[in-house]
Amino acid sequence: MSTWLEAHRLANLAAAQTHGDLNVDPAHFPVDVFGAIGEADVMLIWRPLPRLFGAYLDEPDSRPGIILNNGLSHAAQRQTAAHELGHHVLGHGTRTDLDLDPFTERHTKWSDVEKAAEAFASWFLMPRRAMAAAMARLGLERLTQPAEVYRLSLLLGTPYRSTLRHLPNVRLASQALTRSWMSVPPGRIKTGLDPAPVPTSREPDVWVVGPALTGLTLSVRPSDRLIIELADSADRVEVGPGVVELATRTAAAPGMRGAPSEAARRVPFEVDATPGPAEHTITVRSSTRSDSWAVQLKVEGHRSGIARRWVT
Amino acid sequence: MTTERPSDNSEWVELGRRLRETREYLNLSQQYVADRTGIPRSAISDVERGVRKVDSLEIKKLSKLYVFPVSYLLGEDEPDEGVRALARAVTDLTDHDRAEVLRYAQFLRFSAASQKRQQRR
Repeated sequence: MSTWLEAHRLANLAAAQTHGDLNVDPAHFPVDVFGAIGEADVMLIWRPLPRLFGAYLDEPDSRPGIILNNGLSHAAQRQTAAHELGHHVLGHGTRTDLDLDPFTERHTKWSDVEKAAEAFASWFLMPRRAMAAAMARLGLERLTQPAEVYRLSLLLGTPYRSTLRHLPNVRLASQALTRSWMSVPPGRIKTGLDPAPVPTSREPDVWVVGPALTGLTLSVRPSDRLIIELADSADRVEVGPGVVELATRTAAAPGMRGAPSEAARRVPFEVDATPGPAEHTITVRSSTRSDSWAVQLKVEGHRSGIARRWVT
Repeated sequence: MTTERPSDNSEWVELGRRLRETREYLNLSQQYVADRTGIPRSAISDVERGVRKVDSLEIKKLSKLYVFPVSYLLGEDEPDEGVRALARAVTDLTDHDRAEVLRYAQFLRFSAASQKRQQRR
C-alpha cells in the first residue's frame, strides 16, 4: 500500500507530462480539464447520478469515456473530471467512483489506484505555476488565513477543501496549519466575506472582486455573490442587466453608501443572469481619478449530456 | 421514401419516443438537431410525437448525429456481450447509477463502431 506522499510524488510528474501532451498551459488558471479530456480523445458526458461522483470506462471494442455527476458543484465536477482523467492517463482501466470527498472516513481507506488518480487530479488542476499566478492576481505572497485559500480556490476552479489539502504538497502551508484551517467551514468564510444578508442556500460562492482581477473572465453561477472592492466609497460601479446590487447587513438600502465605512467600500452584488455564452462586464470608475477597471463574468449553467465536440 | 418499419401508428409513437429520449440523453435541443441535420425543427418535433413518419434518409442523419445506430433507434438492439460483462462487474452501484454507466458504455461502443466505419471510408 502506497502512502499519499508517494502518490503525490508520482502524480506531480504524471500531471506535468499530461499538461505537455494535451497542450495545457500549467501557468494559466483555471486549468481547462474538460477541454483536456477531449484532447485526450476521451468522450465526456454529464448525467444525473444519485450516488456516483463519476466513472471512467475503458472497455474492449469501445472508446474510452468519462461520466460525471452533474449534481455536484462545479468545482467538484472539475475535480472528479481530473480524477477520472487520471485513471485514463495512468492506465487504470474502468473505475467507478462512489465518493471522492477527501475528508470522509473512506478517504483513509483509498486503494493505491484511487490515491494515484486523486493526487493526479490535484496536480493537474493545481500545478505550482497556476497557483502562483492566481496568488499573484490576488496580491498574495503567502497564505495566512482560510479566506485567502477560499478566494484562491475560486480562481483555480477547485473545491475549497481539495485546495486546502494540496497546500502542503506545493509548500504553501504546513500540514499543521492546513489541519487547523480545515476546522473552518466554507460557510463561515463566505459569511465573513459577504456584507449582504446570508443567502438561503449554501451553494452560492462569494467572489471578492477588486482592481487586481482586471481583465480576467470569472466563471460564475446564478446567485453567486460579487463583493466589489472600491478604493473610494464614491467610486461608481457600472453593471449591466444580470448583475444586481444587494443591501448590506449594515446599510439601509442599496445605493446608500455615502458614509466612508468599511462596508461602503465593499459593495455586494448578486449574479441574476441566465447561463449562456454572453459575457457580462463590471466596470468601476473612480470618482477622483481618471482611471477605471473592469472584469468580465461568464455565467455557467447546469451541464448535461454529451460534450459538444462529440456531436457535430 | 419512408422507412419500412415501424408499420403501424403505435410503432411510430414508440420510434418517436426513442428518438426524443436519445436526443434528451445527449442534451441536444431540437433546434441544434435541426441545424446539424437540415431537418426542420417542426418536423423533428412531429416525429418525436409520433405524428409524422420519418424517412430513411432522416433517420440515418439522426443516427449519425446521435451516434446510436439505426437499429437501436428502431428498438431492435439488445445490449451486447461487452455491456453485459460490464453489468456483471459493476454490482456495487445503485440501480440508477448502474443503468447510467451501462447506457454510457453502450454509447461508447456505438461510437467506436461508428468511428471504425468512418475510417474505412
